[in-house]
Amino acid sequence: MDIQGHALEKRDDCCYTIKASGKMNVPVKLFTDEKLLEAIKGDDSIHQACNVASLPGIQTASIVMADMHQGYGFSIGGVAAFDMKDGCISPGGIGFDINCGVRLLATPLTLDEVRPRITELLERLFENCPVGVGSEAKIRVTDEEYGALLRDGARWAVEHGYGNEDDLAHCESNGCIPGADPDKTTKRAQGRGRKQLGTVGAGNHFIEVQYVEQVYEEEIAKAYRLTGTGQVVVMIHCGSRGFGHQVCTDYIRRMEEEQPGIVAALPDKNLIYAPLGSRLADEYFAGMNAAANYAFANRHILGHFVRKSFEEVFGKEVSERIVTVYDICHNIAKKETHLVDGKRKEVMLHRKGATRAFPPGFEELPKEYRPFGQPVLIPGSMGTSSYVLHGTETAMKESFGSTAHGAGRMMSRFQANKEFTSDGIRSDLDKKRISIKAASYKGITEEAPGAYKDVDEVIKVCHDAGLAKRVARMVPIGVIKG
Amino acid sequence: MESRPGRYEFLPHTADAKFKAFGKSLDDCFRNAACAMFAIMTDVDAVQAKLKFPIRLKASNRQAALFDFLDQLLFLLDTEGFLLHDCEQMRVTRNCDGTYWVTCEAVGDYHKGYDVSGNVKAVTYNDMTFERKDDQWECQVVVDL
Repeated sequence: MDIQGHALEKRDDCCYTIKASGKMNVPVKLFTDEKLLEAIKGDDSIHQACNVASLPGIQTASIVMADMHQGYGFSIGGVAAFDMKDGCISPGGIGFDINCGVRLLATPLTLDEVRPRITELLERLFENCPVGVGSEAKIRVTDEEYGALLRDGARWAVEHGYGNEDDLAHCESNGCIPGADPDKTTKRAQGRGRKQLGTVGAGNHFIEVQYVEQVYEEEIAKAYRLTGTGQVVVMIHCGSRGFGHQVCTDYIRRMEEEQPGIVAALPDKNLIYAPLGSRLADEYFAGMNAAANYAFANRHILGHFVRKSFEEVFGKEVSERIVTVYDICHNIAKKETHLVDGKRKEVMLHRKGATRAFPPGFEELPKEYRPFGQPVLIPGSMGTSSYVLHGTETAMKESFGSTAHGAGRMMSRFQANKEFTSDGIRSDLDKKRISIKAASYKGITEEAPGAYKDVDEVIKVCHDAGLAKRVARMVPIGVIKG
Repeated sequence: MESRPGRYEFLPHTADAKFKAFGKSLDDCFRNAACAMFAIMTDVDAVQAKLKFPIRLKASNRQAALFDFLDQLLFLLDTEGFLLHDCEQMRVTRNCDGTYWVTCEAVGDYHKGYDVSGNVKAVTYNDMTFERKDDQWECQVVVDL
C-alpha cells in the first residue's frame, strides 16, 4: 500500500511497517488497520512518523498507534525511544499539554441510582470543577507551596487535604515524577498555571460520569475495583493547563535560539530537540517533570472535587467509598528500561498521545493489580464508549510498553463546525440519554463524535495486536466540558 | 471560527487550527494574525475595548517575532482572562541586525460574559510561513488546541 509516497508493508492485520530510507535511522511501525489508515490518508501523520525516524539515537523503530493523526513535528499517537548517550529529548515529542492524562474513579453507585439525579450531579460538578477558557481555580497557593507542588505532584495534593494515600498508590509513577525542578521553568510559565490549579480547561478535556456497560475480564475488572456492569465511574481527562503549555513553548524557543545548527538541519522546526547529556536537555527534562507533576496534582485535586460533588448529592457514606482505579499520562517522556536488540537498556521514551501499558509483574503497581498488569485508560470521543484495558508483555516487545490513547481526530475543527450544529449534537446526545453541561455550547460542534475515528475500532487494533487487552467498556450518562 | 476575507482565512487541519493572515504592511499582517487566533475562541468583534495591555518584545527573526507576539497574547488570556478585540498602534520593525521589534496596545475585555470555546493552548512553528505577494504580506500559522 502506498500512502503519500510512503510504501507500507503489511505485517499482519494490525501492523504495517515502512522501511528505513533516506535520512531515516530506523523503520516506522504502525499499529493500525486498513479502515483506520483510510482516515489519515489525507493528513501528514505518516510523513511525520518518518521524520521522527530520522532523529539522532532513535531505537528500533518510530512507532505510531491506531489513533494517530497529524501533530506538529511528531504525529499524535507516536512512541519513540532514544539512546541516553546519542539520543535526544524533543518537546514536540511530548506535546504542549505535558502529562495530559486520564484518571478513573470507581463509585459504589449503580446506573439506576445515579441517572435520576444526573442533572443535579452535573450542576455540582460544574460548580466544583471549573471548565472552559479563562476558568479560574478555587485554590490559591503561596510561592513556597507552588514550588513544593511542582516538585511533589499528587503527593502535595494529599498533604494538603486533596485525596488520600490510596489514590496515590493508584497513579502512574505514584503521581510524582522525581527530579522535577521548578527553577527550570520560567516565572511566565508558573504565572500561567497559577490560577488554573483544579480546573479542567477546554477543547477535548472533560469530566464524564459513565457506567460499566460490559466486562470482558471479570477477575481483572474486580481487581481493578470495577464491581460489575451498571457500576457508575467517573473519568477525568485533562493535563498541566497553561503551565505545561508555556514550559513547552519556552523550551522550543530556547532550543531554537541556543542551537541554530540543529534547527538548520531539521526537516520541520517543530522537531527541535536537545541532545541527551546536554545542559539544555537536563533543564528541559527537569522543567517538563515539574509540569508533569502539576498535571498529577491537578487531576488529584479534581478527584477530590468529584468526591465533594458526589457528597453534596448522595451523602458522605457514598463519597467516602469512591476510589481511584488508576491515573495515566499520555503526553510525556520518561527514563525507562527496555529491551533493545536483545539487551536491556535505559532509554528516553517519548509518548505523544500514547499510553503506557506495562505487563503483569510490574513492581510499581499496587499489589492487587500486579498479577494483571497496569490498567490502561482510553477515553472515547464525546458520547461514545471509553475503555479499561490491561498492559501486556507483547506491548513490551512491540511498542516499548505502549498503546493508543484515544479515538484520535480525523476531521478538522474547521470542517466539524461546518458539518455539525450544536443543536444537532445536543439532540443526538439526548437520544442516547447523555446529559451535557458545557461552558460554551458553541464549542461542542468541534468535539462532535463524527470528527473522531471510531474508538471501538482503535481498541480492537490495540487488543488484536496484543498491545493491551480489553477489561471493561464504559458508556457516558453525563459530561461537563469547556 | 469564521474567516474574514482580506484579513484572515481559516484552513483545514486535522486536530488544530490553521490560518492565514494578510496585510498591506507587516504591522497589519501581525494584527490580523492576532485577531484570527482569538476568532478561534470567540467573536472578536463582539469583544468590547475595555482593557488595554502594552506589548513590547524583541525577537531574533520574523517568525520568532510572530511566535512570541501570539504567545504573549495567550499569556494574557491565561493570566488576566484577557480576550482580544484589536491591536492598536501595531508596529513591527526590522532592525539592521535582522532582529525585530514588536509593539502594540492590545485592547479587549475580561472573558466573563462572552461565549468562549476551543482553548488555544500554544502557538506552533508547524507550517509557519511568511510570503510577500503583490505588495501584500501573508503569514500562515498553526496553533495547538
